Amino acid sequence: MRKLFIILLFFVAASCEKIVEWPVENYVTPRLVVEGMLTNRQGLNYVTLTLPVTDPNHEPQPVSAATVAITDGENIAVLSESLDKPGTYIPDPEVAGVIYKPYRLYISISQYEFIADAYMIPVTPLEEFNYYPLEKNPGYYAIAPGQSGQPSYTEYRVEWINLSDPATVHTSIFYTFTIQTIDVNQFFKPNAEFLAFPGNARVIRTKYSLSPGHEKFIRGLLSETEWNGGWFDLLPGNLHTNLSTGAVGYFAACSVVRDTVYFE
Amino acid sequence: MAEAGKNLFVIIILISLISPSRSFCQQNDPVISLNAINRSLEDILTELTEITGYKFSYNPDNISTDTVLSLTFSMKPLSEVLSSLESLGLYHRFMKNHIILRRKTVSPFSKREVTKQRVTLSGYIRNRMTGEALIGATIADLSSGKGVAANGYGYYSFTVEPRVYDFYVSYIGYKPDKISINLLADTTILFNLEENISHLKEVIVIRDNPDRTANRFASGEMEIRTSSIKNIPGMLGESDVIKSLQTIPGINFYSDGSTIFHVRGGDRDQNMILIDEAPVYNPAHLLGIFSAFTPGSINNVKIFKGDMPASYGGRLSSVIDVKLKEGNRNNLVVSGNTSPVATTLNFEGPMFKDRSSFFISARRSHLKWLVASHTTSVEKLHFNDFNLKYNYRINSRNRIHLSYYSGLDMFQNRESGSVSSGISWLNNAGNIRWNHLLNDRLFSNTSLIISNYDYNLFTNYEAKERWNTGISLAALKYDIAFYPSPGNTYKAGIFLATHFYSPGNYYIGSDAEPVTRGVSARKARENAIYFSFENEITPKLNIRYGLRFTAWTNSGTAVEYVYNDSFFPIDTVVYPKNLNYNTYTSLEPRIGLKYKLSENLQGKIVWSRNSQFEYLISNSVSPFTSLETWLPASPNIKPMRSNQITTGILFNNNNESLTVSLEAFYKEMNNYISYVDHAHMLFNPHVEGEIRYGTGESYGFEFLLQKPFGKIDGCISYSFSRTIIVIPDINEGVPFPARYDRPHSFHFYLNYKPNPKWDITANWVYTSGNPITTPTGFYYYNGYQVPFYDERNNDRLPDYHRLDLSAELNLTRPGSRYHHSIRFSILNAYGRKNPFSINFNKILKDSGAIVVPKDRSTPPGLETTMMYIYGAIPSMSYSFNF
Repeated sequence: MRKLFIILLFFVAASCEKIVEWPVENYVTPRLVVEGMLTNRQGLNYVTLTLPVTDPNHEPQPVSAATVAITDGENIAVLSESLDKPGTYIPDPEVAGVIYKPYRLYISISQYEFIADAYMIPVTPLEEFNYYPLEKNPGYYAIAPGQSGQPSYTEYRVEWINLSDPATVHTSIFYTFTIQTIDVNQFFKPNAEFLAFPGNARVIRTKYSLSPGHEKFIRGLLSETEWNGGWFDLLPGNLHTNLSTGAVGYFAACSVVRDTVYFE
Repeated sequence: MAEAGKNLFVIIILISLISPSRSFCQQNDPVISLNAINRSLEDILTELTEITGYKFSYNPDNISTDTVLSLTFSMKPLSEVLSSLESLGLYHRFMKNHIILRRKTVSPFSKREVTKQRVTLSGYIRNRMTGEALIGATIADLSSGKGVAANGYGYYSFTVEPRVYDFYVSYIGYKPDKISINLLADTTILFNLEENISHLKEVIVIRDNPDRTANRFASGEMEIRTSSIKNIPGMLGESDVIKSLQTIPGINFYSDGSTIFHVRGGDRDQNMILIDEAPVYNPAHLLGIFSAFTPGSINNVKIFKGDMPASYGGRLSSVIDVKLKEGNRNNLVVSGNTSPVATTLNFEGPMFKDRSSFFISARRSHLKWLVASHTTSVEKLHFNDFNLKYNYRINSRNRIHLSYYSGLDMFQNRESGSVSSGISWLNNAGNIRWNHLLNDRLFSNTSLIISNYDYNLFTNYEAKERWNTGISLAALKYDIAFYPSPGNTYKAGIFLATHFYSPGNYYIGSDAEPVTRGVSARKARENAIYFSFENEITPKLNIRYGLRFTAWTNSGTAVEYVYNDSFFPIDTVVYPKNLNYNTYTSLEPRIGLKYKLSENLQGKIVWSRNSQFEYLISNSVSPFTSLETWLPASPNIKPMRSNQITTGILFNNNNESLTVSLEAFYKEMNNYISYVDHAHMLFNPHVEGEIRYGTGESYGFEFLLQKPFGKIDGCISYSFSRTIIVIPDINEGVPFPARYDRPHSFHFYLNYKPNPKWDITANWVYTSGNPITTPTGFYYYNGYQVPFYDERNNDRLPDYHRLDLSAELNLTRPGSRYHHSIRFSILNAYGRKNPFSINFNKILKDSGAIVVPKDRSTPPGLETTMMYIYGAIPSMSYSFNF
């Protein structure tokens, strides 16, 4: 459908987008930002606590010394703050979630307590890995992600080494999403960065299940990021959250599947 | 001699008794022109004899040939000319080369004749050249200053005491007509006013009737002249009816390139756009870049900004009443226009001479041809408009009108290796109207109206896989107007309609049943009855008052959900076919007073209440029309209601060459709707759970200075208005400005005709920027920088301003029948980049492209960007008629 807008641009001569200075108002109330992930795999579980930034591109301030725990009603896992990444709390390595179980995240910071509930549903198998060579850039490939039958999202972690600098591993991460709603801004989303990778790259795909609440959060996330800034924007707004007490972000419980594939 | 006359009379009576019908005996009926102003009947009959050869026979004891009257006819059958004498009680019959006139025998018990102390002058006011009705043209008695305006069909009725009158007939842009008449009996006169064509060498002073200006002011009615529509530069040379509304204070357009407009603080769906009484739900082409109506097909555009007459209902903020041309009654005319975007052709002319005329207009875009060299994947890209109007005069008291409008947009694209996808939408609107004159003071109209809007988003054209939404209406409307005297009018009517809503489902192939169901289809019946009166209380004080009562009933088959206090569905109710399961009623009074403060100064105050029973469900902030659905008021969607009070003063200078008006208004809106953050609008059966209700408040004042005619004409307007919304479940209940709240709006329009060849127009618009919601902070999630917001519409876009210029060069050679002109225009002449959105989510690539980042491995270095529609756009168009 973007073709129609390209045509519109053609007709309206100089229609375009330009970079501007636009100071934003500072937020009034600081909020706790929670990025919580519990999966059915060991080593993929974490909770990150930060504070928002007032200027785009600023490094968020981590929230340290919080008490963070996850419980399924029977067992409780207390997460400890990573020494390498302040504000990131990780459970013991053997901790993993179980499909069809509810989980509660508990966070305590000073006198404030935050709670979030999540439910883990199964994930469907990964789709066939589709990619294609670039005619104009021989030796490079682009990924053509497939669509899942069920709500889910997939992380593509692409790693490669340039021959000119074999000591450095280059990493690129991007996500694809399957959600069951249709929105105008999704249909007419703005142009996105095009990613191409050398033939020696390996692609680690991790597919996450999406519960209805998590899907709602992801839909809002996309509406505010990947789908925003096109010709058919929707009313902006804060993302859905399952966190209490005014915190933002989401605590997700996802079952995952993972594979690793190579272009060549 | 007297005896002979009596015998002749007896013979006439006998003949008339044995004659089954006048028309059966009618013989040769020559077509004649007659311009008899203030002449005796004897004179007129003598002239008719000279023209036609027919001799007139009548009983002089019964028929006074001293009666003075005025008859003006152009190329009309003799029978029609003679029919106009029926208002004097004179009936005619053809007998070979004689025409027998007789006076109708009046029953001694005829109440009307016995009590009759007033006489009526009635008829139509038309364009002399084309025969088009001049809607709103006025006829005024110069001695008393009282006047009446022609209605939507050009009909007027002026009832006064019998005496000699000096009547002044006027319409802006036309040479006025002035006649003296000894009005002793009911008289019908057709006035044909001559258009003041700009290339005429003499400067013709024309003026509008003071009463007409004052009455329009009092009734809240505004009018856009078709010449103004043509002069205001449109996108790529396409003049635009809807966008020309921006010249009116109180009407603000949402953005460049948009047909979305807001009137006195009302949302976009609070505007009713009618084309010959039939609603058009999406008057936009190419997502709003162009609007649906072709200026060449329009006779008249009236605008009511909230204080609508009782005969209009169903919207809170405005009615845009577009009347199509009826077609030239005298000559076959071909006209057209071509621009880089589209070509329009119009055909009009008489049909069944002097009984009917037609108007056909077709516009087709040539976008595909223009883009063909740039892309091969576009299979279809065009929009069309088709207008048809036909009217047929059954007799002097009955006329039938047929109107039809169809507008189609089609975009079909096929990327290599994939299926064909695209968008199409179709507007159909039509009606059949029957004008019936019950008598000279009683005018009625019956309309059968249909309208349909159908939108398809194709994901696979071949398989007809599509998301579809639509709305349609079938209605019967009956209006009757009684004109007992100038300044006193009584109107009443009924409106019976059935509305159908298809709020968005997914279909495959030709199956009528959707494969994926969104909101249940809905049906609603709207039954309304209304009346409105206008009375002259004193020569200085007029009152208008009216009442509209509407009953809105939801009818099955439908699925309704029951929601709890948290807006979660807790129950489902399925209503069977035709079961009426919910009714809202609405009583909508209105009252207005107009007071003549002095000869040049009028004051008014108007209060009105309106209700709206259908909504455009959309949380889009885009300037373009998109995937939107209409939903009716129902158990879960409450009807919106508004109260508006308007007060103002109007000043005219003595020759009406300058008018100044100042109006202030206050409007409150109840059950104003908005949406929760990231509301799920499409394919959501529970969409009603995403809607929240509150109140809206709008207030402001509007200033308008007009110089309506002359070598230089134009207007300057300024409006100040605010619209504040309060919705308990949104923005934590804190009041916030509506997204179209633009406090300051200034508009300047100037048209200059230096000589008969050139017509130059400048149009400058300035408004405050639209409110927008900008983040007050950002947080990171999975590598995404997510904005968060503290308040809705907390920020504002930069001020909007734009200058448009156009110049029309008349290429017509003197005496030539082929009229043609070429128009050069520049939209946004100084290339102002007026943004419609501010974004915080893009990156600048080395190539210069601004895109959304995909790689989330490292913070992407986001830029703040603004999007705007266009810079300066020059264009050229060519118009002709012959």
